[in-house]
Amino acid sequence: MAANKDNKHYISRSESRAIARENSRAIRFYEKKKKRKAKPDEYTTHMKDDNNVIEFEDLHTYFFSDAGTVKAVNGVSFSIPAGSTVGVVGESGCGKSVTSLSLMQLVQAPSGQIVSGSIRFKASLFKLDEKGKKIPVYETVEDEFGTRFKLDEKGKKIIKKNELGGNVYEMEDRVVDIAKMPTEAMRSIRGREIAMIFQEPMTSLNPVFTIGNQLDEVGYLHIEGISKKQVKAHSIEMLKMVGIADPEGVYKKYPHELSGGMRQRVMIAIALLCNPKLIIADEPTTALDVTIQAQILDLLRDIKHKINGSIMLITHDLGVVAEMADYVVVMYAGRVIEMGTAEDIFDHPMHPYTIGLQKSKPTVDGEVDKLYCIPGFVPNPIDMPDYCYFRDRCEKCKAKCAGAYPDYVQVSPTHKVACYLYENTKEDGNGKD
Amino acid sequence: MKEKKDVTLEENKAEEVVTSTVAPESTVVADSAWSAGQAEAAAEEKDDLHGENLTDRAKVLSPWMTVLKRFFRSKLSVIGLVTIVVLFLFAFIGPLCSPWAAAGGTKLDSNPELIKEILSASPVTYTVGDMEYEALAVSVRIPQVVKLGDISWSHWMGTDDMGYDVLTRLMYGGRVSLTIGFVVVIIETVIGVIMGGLAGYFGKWVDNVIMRIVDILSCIPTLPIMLILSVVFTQSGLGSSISKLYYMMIVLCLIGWTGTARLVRGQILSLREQEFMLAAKASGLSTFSKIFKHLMPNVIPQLIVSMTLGLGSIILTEATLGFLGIGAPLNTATWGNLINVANISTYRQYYPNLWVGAGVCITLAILAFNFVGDGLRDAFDPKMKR
Amino acid sequence: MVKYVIKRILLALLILFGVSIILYVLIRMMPNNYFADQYKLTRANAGIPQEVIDAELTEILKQYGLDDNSFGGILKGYFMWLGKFLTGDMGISFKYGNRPVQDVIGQYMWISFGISFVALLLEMVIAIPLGIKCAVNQYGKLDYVATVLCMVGIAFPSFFLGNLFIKWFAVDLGWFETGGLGNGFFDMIWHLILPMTVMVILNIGGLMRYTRTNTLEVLNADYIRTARAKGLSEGKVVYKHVFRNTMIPLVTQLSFTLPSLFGGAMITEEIFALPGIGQIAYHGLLEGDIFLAMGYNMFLAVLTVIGVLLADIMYAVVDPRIKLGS
Repeated sequence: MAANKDNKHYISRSESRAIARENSRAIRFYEKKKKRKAKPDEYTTHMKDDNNVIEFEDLHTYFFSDAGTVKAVNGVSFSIPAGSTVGVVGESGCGKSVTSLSLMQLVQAPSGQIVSGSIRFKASLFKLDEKGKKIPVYETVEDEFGTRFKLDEKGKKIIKKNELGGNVYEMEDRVVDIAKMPTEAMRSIRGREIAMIFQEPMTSLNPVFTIGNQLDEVGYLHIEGISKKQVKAHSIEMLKMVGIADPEGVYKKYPHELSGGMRQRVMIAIALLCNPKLIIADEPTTALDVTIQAQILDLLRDIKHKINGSIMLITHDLGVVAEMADYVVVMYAGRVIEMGTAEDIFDHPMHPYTIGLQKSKPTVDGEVDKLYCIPGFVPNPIDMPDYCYFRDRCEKCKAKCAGAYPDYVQVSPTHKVACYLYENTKEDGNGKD
Repeated sequence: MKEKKDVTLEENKAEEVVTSTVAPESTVVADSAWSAGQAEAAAEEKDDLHGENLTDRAKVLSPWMTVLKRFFRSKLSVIGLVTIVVLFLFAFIGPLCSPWAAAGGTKLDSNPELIKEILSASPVTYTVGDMEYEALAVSVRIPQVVKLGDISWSHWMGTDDMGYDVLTRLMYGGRVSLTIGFVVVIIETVIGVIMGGLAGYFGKWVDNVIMRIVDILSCIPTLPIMLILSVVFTQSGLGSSISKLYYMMIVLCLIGWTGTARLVRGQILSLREQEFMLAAKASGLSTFSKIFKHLMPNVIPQLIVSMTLGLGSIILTEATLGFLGIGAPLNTATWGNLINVANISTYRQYYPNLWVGAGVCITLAILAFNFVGDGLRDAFDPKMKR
Repeated sequence: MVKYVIKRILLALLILFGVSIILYVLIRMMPNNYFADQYKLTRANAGIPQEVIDAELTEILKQYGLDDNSFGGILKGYFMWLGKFLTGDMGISFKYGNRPVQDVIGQYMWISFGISFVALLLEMVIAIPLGIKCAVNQYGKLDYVATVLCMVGIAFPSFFLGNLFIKWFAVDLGWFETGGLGNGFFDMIWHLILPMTVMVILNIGGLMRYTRTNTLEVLNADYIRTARAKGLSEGKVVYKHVFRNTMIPLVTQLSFTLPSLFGGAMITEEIFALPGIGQIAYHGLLEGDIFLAMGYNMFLAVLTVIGVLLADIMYAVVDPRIKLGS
């Protein structure tokens, strides 16, 4: 019996060779796709709902590993409305981080690749001329002959400067599909339009450069024509904004001289530097102790109002989501199983997994002998079954669950859940988003 | 899938009585079943029953399979392994197929056909002064040795300046060089593990003393020391015996263990700090079993890698000694001694068949051991996983 | 910081003391008459009258305590040697014209240094960018080819490669010289091309692979992801963020090349007949020039110790996180 079992669980030589061959083929294909030269039209689309900044639709991000293809994100669809905070929750390994990294095209290459689906983003990009160069906006003067370009001593046109001291270029609003964008084009979105704060403030800053250097870098990169002095002033301004008491001092320090909370503030300052439309916060408080956590969350909430952007907050901490988020997306094993407004999810959780999550949260007032624990484990991500992934751990499992993966059920205008339990409470007929 | 489930059920029955309450797949388990008391037991059952489903679908690699698989995935490792096997066959089986191999070494190619005269004796008389002498002029068949013979069908790589078949010498040389490599590496590793283990395990002054010895030994330059020792041994009358090489290799072992000792000590120190050692302590394991149960499995992969890479470098050292003429006595066939003739510019220029073969063998051996060592390191190190 | 360095220097002195004892005992294991015979032979070849040689020999044996081969005698001899060594007297080298050993080393060291230094520069210029490039395109074609070539380079024994080069390029093709230093600057370069190529081929592999491994490690770091998330171009990510971090172990590693930089490449110098310290020491060691042997080995040991110390200091210089002594 034991030997038999062993054989079942281990990959044979020929199987593993087939996997390796398949992987290298797939990796080559997707890497080529990312490195290709593409005209902007190729990845321009339009939003389904103009109020959204981000729309994920049927996103698949896979890791081509030795043991087989890991479908880390397996058909994720949700959107982030402008000016809102969307919390993405789920236990470790459910694909929430990979979703956010897909949005930045930062999934660990070459094994991790966005395979299909789309991520639509309403970007304001530089308008390019036919040579692919940015078109500057020039200073003009109005006099009796009408509007003319202002000229310097050498007779050259002067490029208009913005309040930070950077050159002003003609911009255009364009909806892009990040999943189809080549990496080269993606670079002008990273850090400028979408910024990201990572989980580990201790290792997310380069240890050999000063804080100032790492802040200025972003300024130089995305604000063209800015002077050294202006960059520094702006960086220090940002440090002040994230609540660092001694911004000039911190500017000169190395990361190892700062505490974890301070480093996370620096990370936030870096993220804020170019006024991004969206900030992705990937478990921003997990590595910090509780008092610092609260401060960082306050700061995040505060800056959201200041920059008037959206936040995609990724966490496994329901408390954090309850405090911060307007909308909540619950993920399980690479799929969204339930989404809705914060009230929907916290007051009327529907999916058995969400209910389980809520139950397993310790409360102060409740008198519980033993903390609830969802039975079983997250399924192995390789070679997933085609029925509901939660079936084997679900206590409300019914006959229907043996069938195909359930479609989304719209239980209220804002609330959607993927579970057979609510099939009959459908408001409208169409299931999938 | 159905069949398997039955098996699991049976298994559970044998172990626990509670199994009878296990619900079939499609039954909705009532909420009440999950109340505090039963939750744990039920969870276990459910794991066994349903967990089987999912783990069945996902196949994982066994730890050794993983190492082997990663090792064999790298083409270079495979090339290295094949080369090593070929070199071993060449050195140990090769002489059995060579017509020039003799029990103690290589036979001379004495070709009697070269002399056409038949044995004969004829009396000759001659006078010196006033004395008359009579002598017998005898023609004898003297074995004519083919010295520095060309590459031919009977001598695939020609013969050397003594008339020995180069190819056969090369095979015998491989025996000495490869054996020495293995013996030295094993002795070095044993000494290194013991010293490093003592230093890491006892710490304090033991560690201090051993590490200072390591510091001192690693400051001693190998080649100059070998030169001095060669003079010492030669002057002590060991110059013409193979045991000179053995003594020098012993010295090589005595100064070469420092790397292994550092590695083992470092591993032990870092592992001591880790939580599972505390857990081992808490569970009351004795200090000795603690070391061997927990520390050795962590060190062994690294040891295997460093031994494999060490093999190459020992072979190189032996060859260097041979090339400089300070290793084994020159009439002993080792790869190093064979390449020694390249010191003489005539041989270097006009008889490359004498030394290029040995050079290629040394290079191939080192290359192969490095390939395998590298492949093993990548295979053992999970971080290298693609 | 100062305290730490002083502590390290004291430790280094202790190590050197141990090394010198071992070396001295090994050298004294040579039979006494070997030294005397070699001395007489060499000096006689230099055309010195026999009675002068005998007088010199007696004087040296007495002065350096070499006449007594008992345990006590060796011990006494060691301390006599140590006393002179500490005052900067490393004895005399009969092989090289009865000159003080320190002068011999000082003279020939620079030839070795010049050759090794240029070779090291060449290695760095080729190996470091190549290593980084290979790491960035891990498992790419370039990576594969470079890795294999590096391994082949590492595997070649210096004497084999050197002799092959001499046969092919110097004799068969007649492009370069078989050995020696030649006269004049350009002639010297002409003579040095082959030995330098050999040195570069032998050492480049190790450096390149070291760079590659370190770069790979850095590439997986979180802060590299941060740099990409800022929108930096791949070039900027690699040559600013990755490179600076790769340099930390690399600079340390380069400190360890100090002994080979000054100590000469014994075999390469011997094959190409370059009068560097390596070749000088090789012949001295073989012919029982015990003061040169002792002096050269101590010279190498001192360089090794300095190299280790330098590596520690360089670490603190390159990596802002590291403070010496903590």
